[in-house]
Amino acid sequence: MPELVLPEIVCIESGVRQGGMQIIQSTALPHGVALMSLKTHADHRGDLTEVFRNEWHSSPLPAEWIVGRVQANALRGVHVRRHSWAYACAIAGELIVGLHDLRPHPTAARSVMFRLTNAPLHLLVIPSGVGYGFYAPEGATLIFGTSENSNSADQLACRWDSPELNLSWPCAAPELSAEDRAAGNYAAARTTVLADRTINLSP
Amino acid sequence: MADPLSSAELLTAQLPTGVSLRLLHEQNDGPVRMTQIYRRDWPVEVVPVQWNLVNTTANTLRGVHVHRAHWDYLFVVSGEMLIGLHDMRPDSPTYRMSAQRRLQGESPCSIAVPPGVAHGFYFASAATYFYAVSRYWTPSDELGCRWDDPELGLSWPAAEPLLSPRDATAAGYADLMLALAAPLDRAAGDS
Repeated sequence: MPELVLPEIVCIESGVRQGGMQIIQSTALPHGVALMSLKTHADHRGDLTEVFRNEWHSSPLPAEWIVGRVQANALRGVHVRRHSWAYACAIAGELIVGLHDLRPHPTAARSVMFRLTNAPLHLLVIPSGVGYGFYAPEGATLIFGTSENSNSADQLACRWDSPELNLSWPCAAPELSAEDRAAGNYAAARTTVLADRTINLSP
Repeated sequence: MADPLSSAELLTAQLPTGVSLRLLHEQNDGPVRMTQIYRRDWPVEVVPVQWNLVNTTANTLRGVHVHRAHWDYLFVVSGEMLIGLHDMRPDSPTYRMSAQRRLQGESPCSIAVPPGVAHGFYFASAATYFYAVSRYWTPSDELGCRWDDPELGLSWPAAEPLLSPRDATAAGYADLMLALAAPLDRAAGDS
């Protein structure tokens, strides 16, 4: 497997609104994407992590949470949400995340890949208009939230290995869902995103 | 996507009023098994402001706690939780009802616990759960009772579970009833 590393990051201590949360932002990430470093409190009984506090976020709040159990060598995506924002946290195993910005600006066509693991826990915040895919080399469990309840009108799918995505997945033949196997091409997804005036570019 | 209201079955029988145990459906989407654990458009009384992830070691008991203001909404991701409930609301039709249920990660379900219903969680083996609260944590809303107080009517399958210092030194049932009756801004532990 090719070595994948987190993008070079700039750590910014947040202001009051985020309640002291450390947010990882980087010029390597599409505009509005954030990786939030979560603090785990451990004792002899186990540990507790605050994963999501409404007051941390100025983005649309989750309307739905899903627990996903991903098989080894499975890839989910690449999906893009027209209206809603997504939140993901790997709570077991490792996910390789691929992001690609389908919006017209200010980070149009930017792609990035990084690992998301539970050691330490991070919350990934994905704006609408940013394509995302998750690959689990050995299997993983994630918590996934969206700011709108699931509906087909909100979600677009793009073939995971479309060359325009510029995502070098460390797999040749991942397991895909029926929806992802039937996903359209990059041009169709990007055309829809570009035509969609509802995409909010401000995080 | 299935109708969200038909994709989950609600069980309330033989539980304190307001407690809802929701059987959830796992959808097998090829290589990914997905369970919707919360939707804003479900008829759930809880409006979450915060979600927490808890990993717990074997033979741990968390509780017994009761809140005067906030709801809890729980989902077991892996392992098994034995939840014990006891209704401490004098105006409830199920006042002093006790109930216990086993929640398992392999049989996904969620449970909503309203204010005034005392609750404790026992884990015979390691487990992980994800839960929401309807208000941010504040000491004044964190009341507790000794886990093995006989007035709770709960039977735990453990003689010496692992407890937090707070739970190990919790007050008895009578003191908790008094604390619950106090005005919110004068409760024990308020600052």
